[in-house]
Amino acid sequence: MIKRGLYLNFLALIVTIFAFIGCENRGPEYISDYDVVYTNYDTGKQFSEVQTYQLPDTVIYLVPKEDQEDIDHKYDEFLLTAIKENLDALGWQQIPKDQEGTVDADLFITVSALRTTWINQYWYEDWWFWWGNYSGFYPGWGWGSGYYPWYGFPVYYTTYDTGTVFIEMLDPTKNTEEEGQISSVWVGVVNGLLEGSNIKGRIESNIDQAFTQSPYLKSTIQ
Amino acid sequence: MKKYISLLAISLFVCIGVSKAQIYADTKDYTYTRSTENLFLIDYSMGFPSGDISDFVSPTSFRGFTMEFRHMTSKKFSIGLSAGFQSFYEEFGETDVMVNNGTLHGETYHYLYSVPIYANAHFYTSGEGKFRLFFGCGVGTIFNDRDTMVGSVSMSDKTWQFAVAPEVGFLIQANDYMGLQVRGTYDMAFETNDTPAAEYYRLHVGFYYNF
Repeated sequence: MIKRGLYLNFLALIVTIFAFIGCENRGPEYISDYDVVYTNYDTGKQFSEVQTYQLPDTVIYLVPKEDQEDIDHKYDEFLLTAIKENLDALGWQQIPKDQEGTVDADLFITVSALRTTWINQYWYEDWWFWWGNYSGFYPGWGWGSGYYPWYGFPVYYTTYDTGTVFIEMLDPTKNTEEEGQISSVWVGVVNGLLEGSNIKGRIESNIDQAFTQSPYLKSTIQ
Repeated sequence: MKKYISLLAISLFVCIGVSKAQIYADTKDYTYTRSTENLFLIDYSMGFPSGDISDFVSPTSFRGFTMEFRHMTSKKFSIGLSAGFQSFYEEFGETDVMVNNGTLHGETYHYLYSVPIYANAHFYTSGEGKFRLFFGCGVGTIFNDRDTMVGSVSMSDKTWQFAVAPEVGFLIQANDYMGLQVRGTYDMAFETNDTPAAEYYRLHVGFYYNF
């Protein structure tokens, strides 16, 4: 009887300890907690010498060629305006194309965007729990979750979309080794979940952050 | 690495050698009973970062456990093996992190997942009685997984580090089969060429079983 009680004690102890240990550490709680901004630059570039820039009137979407026609450009103006405001705040002047369609500016700005769908797949087998992760790029997919009875045991999956905006500053005076290509002297990458009701607000504040964390761009800084 | 392997081998040899030698010294004074030949310890542990590791993550960890097997070579000495887990976490808010000369900005979280694995030896101040104080030392390795998460970007640094762990504690016998154990450990993982040292204290509270 004592031994039986002992084993039950032992089992209860192990279950209690592992239940306690199994509690997840805290981490990101809100959608905006997953936002991230990355910037990098060519340390040899003197940004204090920059006075003019050229900004395109469209955003490049990184999708397969066959999907180019399906792209919705409704966010282009919003993205380009947010970037223009930050460039103007640096004291730089935007140079429009001339009648021949050419432009002579110190820096050429390119803006591109990428949408990525991530799929997390879970399946349950007996009492144990395994998980796998599959990621892929499927432009235009929506968000959702489902429950599929594959292979005789239930599978649960969740998907979520992330959006990435790439902002690059190209310096026409810096040629690369490859003919016909010019160097990027600054890059800003803004990434976040395409979820929630304030996507535009988050993108705008993250674009602002990309310039805020690049104080060397300001003309007054040598 | 070779240096650490050699150190580990020497330390193990010394620990086991000392314990074995004590068998002969103690058998004159004490008689074994079957119930005290082996101990199995299991406990919940809290971790308190110290030294270099507290720059990476400083709050107290409330997520940890240890399992340990001890073979009593005499009434006052044991040798054994232990393995545990301790998880540390700290939230830094919106922070800039330097990555490849670039700046990564976002909500930043640090995680340290630590798995200490030791061969150990213990000395007990008394061979019998309900209360037994003990001192010991573990020698082995700690697997440390340092994760830095900035927004959705996660960076991980996984290393095996040579480690020693002196400890002190006591056993309180409840019945013939089990009892309470409380102990404090100072885990020291030595620095490697690429990874700084990692040190933390652990307070363990749990049970032990005779078999």
